[in-house]
Amino acid sequence: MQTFPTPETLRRLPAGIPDIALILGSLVILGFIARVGEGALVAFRPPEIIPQVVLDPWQLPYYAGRSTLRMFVALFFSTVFTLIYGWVAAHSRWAEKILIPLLDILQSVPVLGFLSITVTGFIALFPGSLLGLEAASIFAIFTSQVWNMTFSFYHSLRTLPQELQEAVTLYRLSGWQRFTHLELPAAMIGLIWNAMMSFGGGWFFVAASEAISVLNQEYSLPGLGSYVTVAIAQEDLGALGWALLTMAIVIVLVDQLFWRPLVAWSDKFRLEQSAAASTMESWVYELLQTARIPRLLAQALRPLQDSLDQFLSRLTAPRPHPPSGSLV
Amino acid sequence: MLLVWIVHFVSTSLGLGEVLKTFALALLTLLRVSLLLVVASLIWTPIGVAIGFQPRLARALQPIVQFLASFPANFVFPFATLLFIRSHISLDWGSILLMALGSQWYILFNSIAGAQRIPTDLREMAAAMGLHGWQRWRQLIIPGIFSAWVTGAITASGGAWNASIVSEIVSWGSTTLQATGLGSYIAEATTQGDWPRITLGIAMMSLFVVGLNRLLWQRLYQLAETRYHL
Repeated sequence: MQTFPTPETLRRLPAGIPDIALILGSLVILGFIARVGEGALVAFRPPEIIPQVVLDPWQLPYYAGRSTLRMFVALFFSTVFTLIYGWVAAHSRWAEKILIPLLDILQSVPVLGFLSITVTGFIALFPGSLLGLEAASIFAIFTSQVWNMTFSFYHSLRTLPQELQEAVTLYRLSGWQRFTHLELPAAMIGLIWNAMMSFGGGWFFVAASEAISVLNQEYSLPGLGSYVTVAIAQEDLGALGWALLTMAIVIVLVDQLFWRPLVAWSDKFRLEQSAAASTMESWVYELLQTARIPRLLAQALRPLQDSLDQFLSRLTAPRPHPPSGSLV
Repeated sequence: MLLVWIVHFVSTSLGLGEVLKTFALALLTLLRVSLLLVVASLIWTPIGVAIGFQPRLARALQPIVQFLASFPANFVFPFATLLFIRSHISLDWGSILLMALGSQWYILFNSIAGAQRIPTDLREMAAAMGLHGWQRWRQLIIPGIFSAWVTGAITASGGAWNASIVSEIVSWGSTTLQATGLGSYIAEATTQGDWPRITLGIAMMSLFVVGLNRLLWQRLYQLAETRYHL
């Protein structure tokens, strides 16, 4: 007598404990983002309607969420900027002559110095909404993160192993394939490390940009940074302690849920023959690897990805006669 | 074009004396940044290389290093400020510590990344050839991590300049400590909304950082690309 349903059927069901954990985890994160993101859209009409920051420790998770959301929005823009700017700078001798000195100058302009200018500008851009202050803060985080990432990516592209470049030319890979098969993988480890670093540096700027005074007017955006500023003004050591603890928890959470899986994943891009001496372990990454949903999703999206790949490859087909020696 | 406008704007509203004053202030801040870079490199490069080379040590220390690197230095500023107030340390020196709290990690991180990027094959060969001590540093480690270190040092110096704006003037309640430097000059001008001084301060700081890039970092980068290319 067979059991019904048969064991094989049960095993084939696309959900196991990792999947359930994955679904629950994603739902919790999405719910939290929605709850926190609402706060960015409230009205802001100085001097009557200004968001207040209170020193109640129970508000800290919400403030931490606001700051973290800002960080990730900035990280997204930084990554997009890095890939485009770094690639263009590394590929065009002509653009390099302008872009790299420009990058030098841009990264040397002190972000915190011109906060007053950007805040005034962004408030004018989004009148009557807190989005202006929000954008100014995100812009400050962006400018603090992006140069380091761009330099790292550009440098990786400029120091690609010669033999791999020659192989790519030999196989006549398209510009897009060259990007996804050689350049991005080769730059990945450095890029992720620098992004993680810059992200860490970004906390400094989120804290500094949430509460600033311009033209003797105090602007404060709900977040961990403005909480600390209020705590300093009121000489409240207890509140500062809570803020430190919250910050520590947030950093550990972001590390466990985001950076660690990324670093563990990027280890496969190491360019060497002997086995990697050390690999980063990440329970989230293992969860994602064991769960079936991500693989099913990837399978379902494969045709779409393939056609996108082909389309972009056709757009960036290799030139019929690659000029010798100019690829270095 | 922009430069002409800045020069015109500043010279008509502030005069040459103010420019010379900010130049002197920038030299002071430069002194702080250089001291910070030298000390931070001496401390963190060996530690970073050690972490990058030893898998077991790296695994044990990495979470801690990552945590320290991510922790925003300005959350710790109030405690440091209290310490400075209690023990009567002048912020002229204290600000170096505050600036280092945020920027030293760039050197550590990049040293780790650089050390990890040295191929295991090369390290095994160096060990087989019996390289150790200073020889090992000169032949293997410094060439191996040089470009990563330069990237780290550039960013650390950039970060330190940036941090000087919030490090050279700190407060606790109603007490405010201030150091003499370009950072506190910009911070003060921002609070007062003094546009000519904000512009002059930022332009001077950018000028110093760009100048350093041209005179120092760019050359080191070239050295990394030509001589120490792995």
